[in-house]
Amino acid sequence: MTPAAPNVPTDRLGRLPDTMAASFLSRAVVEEDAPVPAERLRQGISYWFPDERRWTTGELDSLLEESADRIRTGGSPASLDQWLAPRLHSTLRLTRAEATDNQLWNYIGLVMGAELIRLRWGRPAGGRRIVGQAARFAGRWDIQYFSRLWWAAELFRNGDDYEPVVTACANQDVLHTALRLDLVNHRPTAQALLRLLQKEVVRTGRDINGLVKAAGSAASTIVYEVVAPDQPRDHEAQAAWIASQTDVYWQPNRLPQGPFDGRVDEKSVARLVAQFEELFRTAPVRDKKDVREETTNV
Amino acid sequence: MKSVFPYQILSRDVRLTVDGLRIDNVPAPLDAYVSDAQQVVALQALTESNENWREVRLMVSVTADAEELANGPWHDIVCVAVVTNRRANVYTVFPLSSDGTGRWTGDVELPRGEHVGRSELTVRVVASVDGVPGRLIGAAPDPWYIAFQAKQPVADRVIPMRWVEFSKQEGFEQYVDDPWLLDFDAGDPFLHLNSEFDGLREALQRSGSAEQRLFGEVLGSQIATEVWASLFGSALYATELDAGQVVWPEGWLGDVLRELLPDMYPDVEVEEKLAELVAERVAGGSGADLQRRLHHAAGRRALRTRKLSAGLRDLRKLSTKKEIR
Repeated sequence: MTPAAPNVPTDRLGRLPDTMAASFLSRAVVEEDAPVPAERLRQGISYWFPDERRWTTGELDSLLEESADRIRTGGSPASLDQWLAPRLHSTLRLTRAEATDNQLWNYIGLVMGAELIRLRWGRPAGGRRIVGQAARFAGRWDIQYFSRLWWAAELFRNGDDYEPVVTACANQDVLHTALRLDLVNHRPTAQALLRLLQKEVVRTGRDINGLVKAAGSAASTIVYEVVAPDQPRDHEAQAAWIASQTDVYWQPNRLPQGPFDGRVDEKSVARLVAQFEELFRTAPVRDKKDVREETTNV
Repeated sequence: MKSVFPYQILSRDVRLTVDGLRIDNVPAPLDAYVSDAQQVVALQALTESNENWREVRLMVSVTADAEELANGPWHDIVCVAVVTNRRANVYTVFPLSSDGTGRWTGDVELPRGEHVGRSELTVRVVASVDGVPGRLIGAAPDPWYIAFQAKQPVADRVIPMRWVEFSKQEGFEQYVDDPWLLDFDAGDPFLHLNSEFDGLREALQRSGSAEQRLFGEVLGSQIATEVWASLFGSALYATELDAGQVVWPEGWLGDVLRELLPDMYPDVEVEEKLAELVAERVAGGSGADLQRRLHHAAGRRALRTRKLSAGLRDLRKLSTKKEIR
């Protein structure tokens, strides 16, 4: 780990420690709309990612710019999430281990994407946009804006197919609630959950909460991974995809192609869809109060 | 298994062992990496000796009581090994093959890009019961841990320390006169010691006079007590409840809870107690009893009593010597 040299090229991704990120996220930045103090921020950054194309910022910068334009021209936050998540995942090629690095997300959230976070998460207040939540800039993996979208894409993609990610990001409750549950780390379960959304068996956040609760408690006696096994993933193919240099990481109107690490067994998904439908049908009525507590707990 | 099962499960132990290890398909000496007694596969040194490793493969076996299996109401019995890595959201299942006498064997693959910090390896025995397929009927009581990063086994973890000039440290403006500061970096605690604090370095590095050394011993244990107590606070704060179930914080913070809670509440089941504490925190309890127990446990962890009594004893000795001289 070498400290930032003064002549580090600005097109490299860097890392920003949590404590630094926290100290820059002053009240003025989070609760008002003061700019992130970019110059002082530079001192805290370390650059130590290897000299590979995937650790450069060019493609990511233009992706964030286009995202900001989408909001400025009236795009809704959810539609931006749907658009951005697969493209972010395809542009920022990381292993899962690399994607656990908070310092990388801090860098992207504060140095590169602070303006976009404000546009996406800010609530208009007296001519300003106020985010209110420091964790959207730097925070837990399922709350920090860019980390959450990257992980949503990683956990909900079906091999090289990003279409399910679009479904997942259409519903903020999937991101708020389902994303961090161990349940969706089993790929057929994640896909089954999205199929139920598509079929409109579950619709609202309340439905999702009810279903994941019922499925979670059933999982203490039924082993889904045995009833609905996943295909072994092709890790070599994923590693090759991560290292590969392509000319186009993202396009505005076409979904990118993810790693060819294998799709989920459709038989397993169908089995789980049937099982979850049954569970959902028989799940006890969920009262409103319960649900409100859960959905605000983000 | 603690849950209540509406069907018959295995009453006798299921045991998981690691019998072999391959690094990028080359067999590696088991002794160097695997502790059967602690149920730990320690791979921390791997990156130093083998910088470009891509995959570790564990050959595992599981045994259950063959007689019980044969005489129970179970059909289509299968056994799977499950590898999880919380931070990397990994949950991978490996089917094992049966030899028909209550023993299963198979390989568990750990690709480098999927593992960070510490992973867990568990085993589940599954069968059809009363016509319902996929029922969990048995599991090994404790998980194996596969450590990728920590330099020490969990129980002996040391908090990293760094001497810094507080007046020159970004973000430390309000703390320039403090002797030390506990900080977090990517979820890991970090103890900053103020190198501008006069005499602190000599005392803590035990390089000064005999008195300074003694003082350093006692001070060191006092700092450790303080650090453990505040880590516990952060860890409890980071713990959530999901439908009454504890969502353990990851990494260090989770380990701090696992380390201190058994000392704080020796007679209670740890997970249940934690759920109760989190619920109390949310409800706004005063936590007076908690604080007492916490300071006791943190002090034990920091060897406070031992260091203090030894320090006082040696100090007495030193002063008598001086009087004689």
